[in-house]
Amino acid sequence: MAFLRLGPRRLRAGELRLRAGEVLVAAAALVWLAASQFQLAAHWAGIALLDHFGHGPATLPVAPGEPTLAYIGPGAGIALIGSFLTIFIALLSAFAALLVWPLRLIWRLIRGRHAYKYAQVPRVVILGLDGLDPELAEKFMDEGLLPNLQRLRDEGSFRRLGSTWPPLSPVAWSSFSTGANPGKHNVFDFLTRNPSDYRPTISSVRLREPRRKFKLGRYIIPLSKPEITLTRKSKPWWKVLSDAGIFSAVLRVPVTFPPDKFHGVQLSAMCVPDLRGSQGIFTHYVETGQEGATMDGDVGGDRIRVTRNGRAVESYLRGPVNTLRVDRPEMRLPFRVVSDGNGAAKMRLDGQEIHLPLNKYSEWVRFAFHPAPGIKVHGICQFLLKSFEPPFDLYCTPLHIDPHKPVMPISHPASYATYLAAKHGTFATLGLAEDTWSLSEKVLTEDEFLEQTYEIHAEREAMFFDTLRCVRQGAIACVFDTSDRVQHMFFRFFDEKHPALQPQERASHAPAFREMYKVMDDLVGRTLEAIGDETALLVMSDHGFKPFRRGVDLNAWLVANGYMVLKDGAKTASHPYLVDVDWSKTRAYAIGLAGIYINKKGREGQGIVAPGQEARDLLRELSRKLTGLRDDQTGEVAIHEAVLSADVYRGPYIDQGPDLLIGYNVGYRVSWDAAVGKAGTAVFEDNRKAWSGDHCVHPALVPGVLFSNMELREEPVNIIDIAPTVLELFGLEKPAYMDGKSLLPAETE
Amino acid sequence: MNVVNAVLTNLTELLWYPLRTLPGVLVLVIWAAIAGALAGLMFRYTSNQKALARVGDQIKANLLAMRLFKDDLRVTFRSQAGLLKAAGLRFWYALPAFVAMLVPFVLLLVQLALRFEYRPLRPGEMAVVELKLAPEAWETGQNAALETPPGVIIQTPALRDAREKAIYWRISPQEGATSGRLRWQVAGQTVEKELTVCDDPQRPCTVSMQRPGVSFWDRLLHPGEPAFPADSPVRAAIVHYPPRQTPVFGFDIPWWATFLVASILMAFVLKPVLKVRF
Repeated sequence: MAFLRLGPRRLRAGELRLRAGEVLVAAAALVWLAASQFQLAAHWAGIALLDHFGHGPATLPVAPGEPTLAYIGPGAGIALIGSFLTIFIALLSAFAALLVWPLRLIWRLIRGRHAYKYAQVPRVVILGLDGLDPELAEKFMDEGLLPNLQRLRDEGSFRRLGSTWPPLSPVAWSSFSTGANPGKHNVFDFLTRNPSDYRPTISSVRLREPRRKFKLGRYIIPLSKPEITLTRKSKPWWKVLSDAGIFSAVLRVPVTFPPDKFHGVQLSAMCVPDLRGSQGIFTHYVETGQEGATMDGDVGGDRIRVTRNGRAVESYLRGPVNTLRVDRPEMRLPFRVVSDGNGAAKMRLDGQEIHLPLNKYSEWVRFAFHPAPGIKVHGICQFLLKSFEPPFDLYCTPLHIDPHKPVMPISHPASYATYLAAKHGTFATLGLAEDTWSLSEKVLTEDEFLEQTYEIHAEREAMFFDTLRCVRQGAIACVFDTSDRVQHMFFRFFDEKHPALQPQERASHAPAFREMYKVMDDLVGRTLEAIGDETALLVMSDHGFKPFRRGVDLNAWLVANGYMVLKDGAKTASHPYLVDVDWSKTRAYAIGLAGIYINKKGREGQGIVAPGQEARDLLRELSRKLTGLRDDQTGEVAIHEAVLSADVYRGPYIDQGPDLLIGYNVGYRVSWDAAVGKAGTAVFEDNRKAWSGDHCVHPALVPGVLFSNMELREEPVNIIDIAPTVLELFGLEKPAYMDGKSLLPAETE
Repeated sequence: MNVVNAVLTNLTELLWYPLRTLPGVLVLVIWAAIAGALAGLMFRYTSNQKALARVGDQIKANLLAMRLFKDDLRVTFRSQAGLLKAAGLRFWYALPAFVAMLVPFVLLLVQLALRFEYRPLRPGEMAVVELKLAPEAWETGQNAALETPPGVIIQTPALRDAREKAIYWRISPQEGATSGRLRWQVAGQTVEKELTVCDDPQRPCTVSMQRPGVSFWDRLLHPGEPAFPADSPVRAAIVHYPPRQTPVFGFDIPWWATFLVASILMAFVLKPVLKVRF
């Protein structure tokens, strides 16, 4: 009875407590489980927010939310729970996907958007091999080196694909995207100039700091996002497909930064800047010699002298300007390198220890600058240690945007870059990722450049084939730059007359040229295997390639002929970007690769040539004088044809581009000096740089290639025809603004 | 085990000393924060961090693939298969850490239970005292008499449960009573057990609910007093103290829940500092 009076409930509670210690671990597991669910929810929310709000701005680099998925508690038991939770989520999502699929299908039918109803094929794949040359392709096919392209030629179609005026990648790929001529898409060159002050800017993107900000102590707090605007006009074909409900995956097609918003995924390419906002500045760490830029402009490299401190070498990564600070200092990350005794070394950078093998690239290294408390700017780079022993020699790639945590919008949706990085590992994000400048500046050897180029190629192949697996219905376009870069840098070994050819090196490097074509052919072969029989394949290039032996200094010619006058009566302009020009007396000037601008009243800040008849007369005069311009030294015609842009372009943006387009002859191109707005002493000069091949000639001389597994029209084809062709393959009408026409034979229309 | 328990209990007591004047819940949070940091550190060095990072990336990639390519059921299912594989791998790579952390964390939780699971008796409160005998000692030991410290009265006569081989009393400390030892004469041996009485029972202090017998688990889970020797007629002496309340923002949350949440938060906060991947 006494026992009963004590009360059974209390005793039972006591009994439970006796076992409390034993069940602690189980209880802990439950709490961890709840925590894990919170973590996963946070992860999903993070992805949704990232996609919704996009990325941190360019000049206010705000780190996106730390992905929290992987964290599920501080103990190994937590990882255990997390594993089970992952399984749970996988099963749950499988169930949800099965449940939702029929509903989505019904919804689509109800809304009348049965996107593929009129499609001739379920999938179109466009494999862009930038700069693949038809003459060389035919030569190598005839030699039996390119069996897969040969098969496409024999069993499908092969055409020379006409390029744009000028045949430059940003221009040509913009015409590919929009099906329109440059007068409609507004991309005329790599560079354009701001007419008001003649300063150069990238032609396809405009970057502006936040408009609204306030000062707080030594910091500047932005109240709005910085402006990153794609200045390409017209509508690319993937947005037309998107309007019809058709999915597209667009990988590394030039002039897609910032990315478009459409039904599909996109990874930006050419014009994506590095962390410093340039188009790619490498760093060369040396122990002797002068510090500073290796060349003018926002390309090339920085040379930084290291400090040897006992057994260690110390220096820093040079980062972007800190726009969050009033004094705008340059951000730096110090590092320390110590030898490991076998020629290789270890680097301590941003709390990590990085293995630096000798004469071999490091893995991609991830790091972050810290512009303000709690804010990080994430980047990646690779190192190449060439010597630890004196003299120290270390190469560092430009600082790419980290695809895991991009500080600028490099993909659509924002999480797509993160997906690619998580799936395939860290990858190069810079627009011009292959560092051609370091080879031109002799910081990298040919073999080292090739190693870098093919590593990047392998990264892109992984993304491309993954996309082929993930997108079975819709359009896929992926551009590979390897073909362009290798031809730019190795043409000298393929051209006996090239001034940059070192005969003793020819034997060792000439094979790289053919090898590249074989690599591209192999890529085509594996693509054919992967796509099966029901996919339409277009293998294309935006232009071909020719040797670049001699440069034409257009500004020197303009000065010599009285169209350009330099300050103080000087005969040469040694500073870049036209700063030496006397605008009050200058009627025409050259900057960029494409041609000549008139210093037009009402358009240029200090224009002196009246628009209308005076401008037209001046242009016709220049055209007449430049067409057929001969190189006195070689006796060759350097300029095949100089045409008025008004004669070849149609559209509302004609006035934004060069007024006179220069179509160079084979072997010629605008000189290095004239391209950056300088004027040298001579109109013609040898090109002795490793950058020895080019395509900045008359477009009729450098068509690209078009291979297909389909039958195509016989008539001449042009890059602007690709977009209408893709639309027709999906049963869509060509929009009125498109200048091209479908390449499909009439009977299939 | 007695030595291990004594060392750990004394060590914990030493670490406890600077915190003794703080409120209980704050002490708990401090312990949790330290434990979270240590757990993160331990996890970093006992798990395959590189492999876990890869697996984490694969999980992220599969989750994102389901979102990015949601129109294609095949991608969804392939991603789910990938998730299952990654889950298995994550478990595999974390297993060594799990094993390595099990022992120290059980010992730590047991030490904390000694201080947060129960509170001392207040004067005027009642508690049940239980003496568990060895089956072979039941005949001679069932008449064991309980002696209490001064000021602690026995409210009920002994209640014997022959099936459980246990004897129960109800005791109550009176005003002015202090902590002391309960004492029994069992089969010719004197048996003792601590009794903790305190005017301010919410002040964190060690409260040993049970003096264990020879059972390994009992000795592991009740480290506050030395275990009875194997030849003792007693298997356990237990005081059923009232549970300790450790309210957080007015909510009565079990101490271990507070501990675990605080340790999670601490590990999460320190994740970038510790450079650990879970």
